Amino acid sequence: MRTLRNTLRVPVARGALAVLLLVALLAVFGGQLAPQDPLAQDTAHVLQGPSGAHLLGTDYLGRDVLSRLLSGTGLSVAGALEAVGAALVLGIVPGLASLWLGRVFEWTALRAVDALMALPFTLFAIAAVGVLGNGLHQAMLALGVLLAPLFFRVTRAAALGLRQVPYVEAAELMGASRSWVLRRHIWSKVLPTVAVTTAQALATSLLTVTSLTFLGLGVQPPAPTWGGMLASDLGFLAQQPWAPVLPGVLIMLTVGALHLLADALRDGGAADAVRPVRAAATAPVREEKADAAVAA
Amino acid sequence: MTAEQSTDALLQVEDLSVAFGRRAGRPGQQVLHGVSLQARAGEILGVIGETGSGKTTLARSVVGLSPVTGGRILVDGAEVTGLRGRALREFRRSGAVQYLFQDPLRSLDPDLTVRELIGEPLAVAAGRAGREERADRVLGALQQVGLDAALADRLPGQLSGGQRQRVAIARAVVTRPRLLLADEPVSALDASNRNHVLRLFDRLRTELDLAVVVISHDLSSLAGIADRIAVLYRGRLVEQGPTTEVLSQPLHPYTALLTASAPSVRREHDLHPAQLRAGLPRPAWTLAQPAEGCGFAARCRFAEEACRAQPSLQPRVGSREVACHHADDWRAGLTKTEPMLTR
Repeated sequence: MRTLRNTLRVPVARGALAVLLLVALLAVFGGQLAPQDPLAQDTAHVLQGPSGAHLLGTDYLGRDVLSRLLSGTGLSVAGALEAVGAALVLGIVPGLASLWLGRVFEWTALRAVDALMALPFTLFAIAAVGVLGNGLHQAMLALGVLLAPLFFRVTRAAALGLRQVPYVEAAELMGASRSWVLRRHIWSKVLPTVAVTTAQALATSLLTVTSLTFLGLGVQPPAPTWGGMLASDLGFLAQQPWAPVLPGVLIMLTVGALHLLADALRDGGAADAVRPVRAAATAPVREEKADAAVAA
Repeated sequence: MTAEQSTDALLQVEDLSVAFGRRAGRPGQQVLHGVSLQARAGEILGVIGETGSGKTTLARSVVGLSPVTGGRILVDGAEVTGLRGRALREFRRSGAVQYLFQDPLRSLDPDLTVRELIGEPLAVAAGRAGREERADRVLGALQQVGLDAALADRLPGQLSGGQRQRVAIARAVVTRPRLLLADEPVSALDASNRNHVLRLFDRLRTELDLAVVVISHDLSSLAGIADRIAVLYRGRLVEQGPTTEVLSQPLHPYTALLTASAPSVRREHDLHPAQLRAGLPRPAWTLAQPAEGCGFAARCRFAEEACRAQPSLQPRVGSREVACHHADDWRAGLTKTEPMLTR
C-alpha cells in the first residue's frame, strides 16, 4: 500500500494513470462511441484521407478508420490483459513455489520453463490453436503460457536471495506461516520487478495480436483490433503511408503509459529510503532524552 | 544464585550435539559435541568463544534452526528439540523464546515501519491480542527499550545502529518472553551504545524475570553483566561458572588465555598471554587430522600424553565446571621467567 501511495505522488505516474484510464474507458464504451459501423464496407470510397464523413479516413474496404479504432480497443486490450493475466498466474505462482516447495518441484519447474523457453512461438501458437480450436481466448492463453517463463524467472530471481535473509528467518521464528512470509516480506520486494515486467509483457502482447492475426489465429477478420489494423494497413503503404501511424500511436500511448507507471511503481518502493523524515530537526533531541532516561 | 543444580532452570541444554551438512552420504561436520548448560529466570548467562566455536549454533538450536543430532533442550521444563510442523509453530507463536539476530539491519524488513516490525510477532499469533492491545503493547515495548514513540513510523533504514538494535530488542520483548537469546548483540555497536544495550538487558531481566543468554566473542562486554559464563572451544564446553570466579581464577588454560588477552578485564591473577602460549615443537598427535583428544591441546602449553583422551566436564566447588586434565595443576607448570609487561 505504501508503495502505491508513494507512486501516486509522482506526477508522471498520475499522467500515465490518466492515459490508461482513458484507454480503459475506450475499451468498455468504444463500441458505442464509434460514429459508424466498424464493419460496414463502402467499396466506392476505399483508402480515403480524412474528411467530414470519415474523420480519419477509410481503409482498403472503405470502412471508417475512427470507428474501427474505437471499437477495436476492447478486443485489443482484453486480449493483452488475458494473455498477461494467464502469464502472471502461470509464472509467479510456480516461481515462488519453486523456492518453497522443495527440490523436486524446483527441478521440475525449472526444466519445464527451460522447455517452454526453447519452443518457437509461432509453432507453439499454431499447435495450441490446433488442439484447443481457433479463437481469441485460445490464442491468448497460448501466448500467456509462452510469456509465463518470463514471470517465472523474474519472480524467482527476485525472491531467490530473500529466502535466506534474516528477516524472513525471523518471521519464521515468530511462527509465521509461509503465506504470511510471502505476503508480508517477499511480495513487496518482488512487486516492483513484476510490475515493470508486466508493463513490458502487456506491450508485447498488444503487438503480438498483430502477428497472430497475420497467421489467421486469434481475432478473426473482420473484427477490428489495433494490431490487426496495423497489419492490414501495412499492405497499403504505397497508397496511405500515414495509415499505420493511427493504430501505432494508440499502441504507443498505451505501452508508454504502462512503462511510465511501472517505473514509478518501482521507484515508489525505493522512495522510502530517500524520503526525508518529517520533523527530522526536532526528533534527535527527543531520542537523546530517551537514551538518557535509559542510562539513568 | 543458588549453588545446587536446580531443576527449575528456564533453559536446560543437555548433552547437545549438532552436525551440519549430512548430505549425499558424506559425514556431516560436527559443530557441537555434548554441550550441557542451563540458565535460570532472572539470570544472564554469557556464552563466550572464538569464531567458529559453535556459539551461534548453540543459540540457533534452541529455537530449532540447527540440525540437532543428539541430546535435548528443555525450555521451562518442556522439551523443544523434537518439535516439528504445527507443534513447532505453536511453540514459536507463544513467544516464550526470542532469538535476537546478530545483524539488526538485516533481521528487520526494510519495507516495514518500526511499529509494524515490533507488532509483527503479535500479528502473526493473531487472536492472542486484539488490534488495540497490540498497538498498546508496541508502544509499551518501545518505552521499555527507551525509544521515543515518535520513531514508530520510521523505517529501519532511517534509524541509527543503536536504535535498530533496540527495535530488535523491543520486537523480542513484546511477546513477554521467558528466555531471550542474544547473538552478539553489541559487536556492531560503539562503546556508548554497547553500554546502553547491555544495561538494557540488565534492566529487562529484572523487569520481566527473563533468562538471558548473551553470546559474545568479547570477554569485556560480558564481564560487566553476565552472572555466569560458559566458555566454548571448538564445539565443546571447556569451562563454566560464576563470572567473577571464572574471570579471576580461570580453571581452564583456554579461559586463562582469554582473560589474559583481554585488555580491559580486571583480574587478580598475573597471567601474561606469553606464559600460556604453547611452545614449539608441538607433540605430533595434537596436529593429527581428525583431531583426537582434547581439542585445545594444539594450542595448550600444558598438553601431554594424558590429553590424548578427551577430558570430560568435571564439577568443581562453587557450581563451576571445567573440562581439563590439568585443571588443578597447570598453574604449577607456569614459568615465571616471562617479563611482566603489565607492571
